[in-house]
Amino acid sequence: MPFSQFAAAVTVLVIVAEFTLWRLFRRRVLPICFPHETDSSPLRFFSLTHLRLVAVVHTIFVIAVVLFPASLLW
Amino acid sequence: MLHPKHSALSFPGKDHDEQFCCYFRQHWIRLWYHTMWWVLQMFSILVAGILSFAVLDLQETGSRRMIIAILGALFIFWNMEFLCSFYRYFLTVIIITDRKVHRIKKTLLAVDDHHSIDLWMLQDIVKRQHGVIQNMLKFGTLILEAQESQVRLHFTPRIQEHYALLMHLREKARNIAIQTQRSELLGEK
Repeated sequence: MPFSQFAAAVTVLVIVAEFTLWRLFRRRVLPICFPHETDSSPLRFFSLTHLRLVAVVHTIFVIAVVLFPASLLW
Repeated sequence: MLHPKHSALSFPGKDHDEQFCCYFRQHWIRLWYHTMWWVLQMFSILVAGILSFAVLDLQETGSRRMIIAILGALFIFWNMEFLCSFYRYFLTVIIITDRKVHRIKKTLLAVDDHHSIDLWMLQDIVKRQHGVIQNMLKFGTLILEAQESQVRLHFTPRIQEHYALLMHLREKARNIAIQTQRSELLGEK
């Protein structure tokens, strides 16, 4: 198997998994989303927009961490 | 902690005459265990990678690629598992209204629990903070006891403030309930 195929498979797998988890999470969390100022939790940084950003960053992180060493060792 | 301009906020299970006060999630320490477990898993992949490629120095292409694929799959799987626990943390919320306390607990697929308890019915509100960490980080368990039911709010953050708020709202809710009963009795007469 050439590296390009491995890279494509990993990228597709990670994106599909992240997207599926995000959709499931969004569907569940939307009815219990309230304005920021009504939140009395200590972790107030995480709004839905921030969580979406976290999901995107996590996707890029996972793909990069798998593919970078793999490209050197393949 | 009370937000009068948001009192009309709606959520599943809310009565039409209830007024939203505030909500909170469990203390961030709840994520600590998952984070530490994730760090341990990532560290074990790193060690396995170093052992395979630096110490054993695998030369055969087939087995080298097999090891890369296995380590990659483990990395992806454990990261997704961690992401699930991270998301789950945001799916447990406690909502305080002027009449009730609602505990909503969900998972991504399987669980969708909603437990609510009337404030005026509460016989006792117990605050439990055991240990140095709970006292340092100001979290603990609130136990709401009514005649036939009990709700335990574990990992309640800023516990002293929430405890005081619940005591205050319980008195208000009791006064409202007494006034309603009185007016109903007078109406009957």
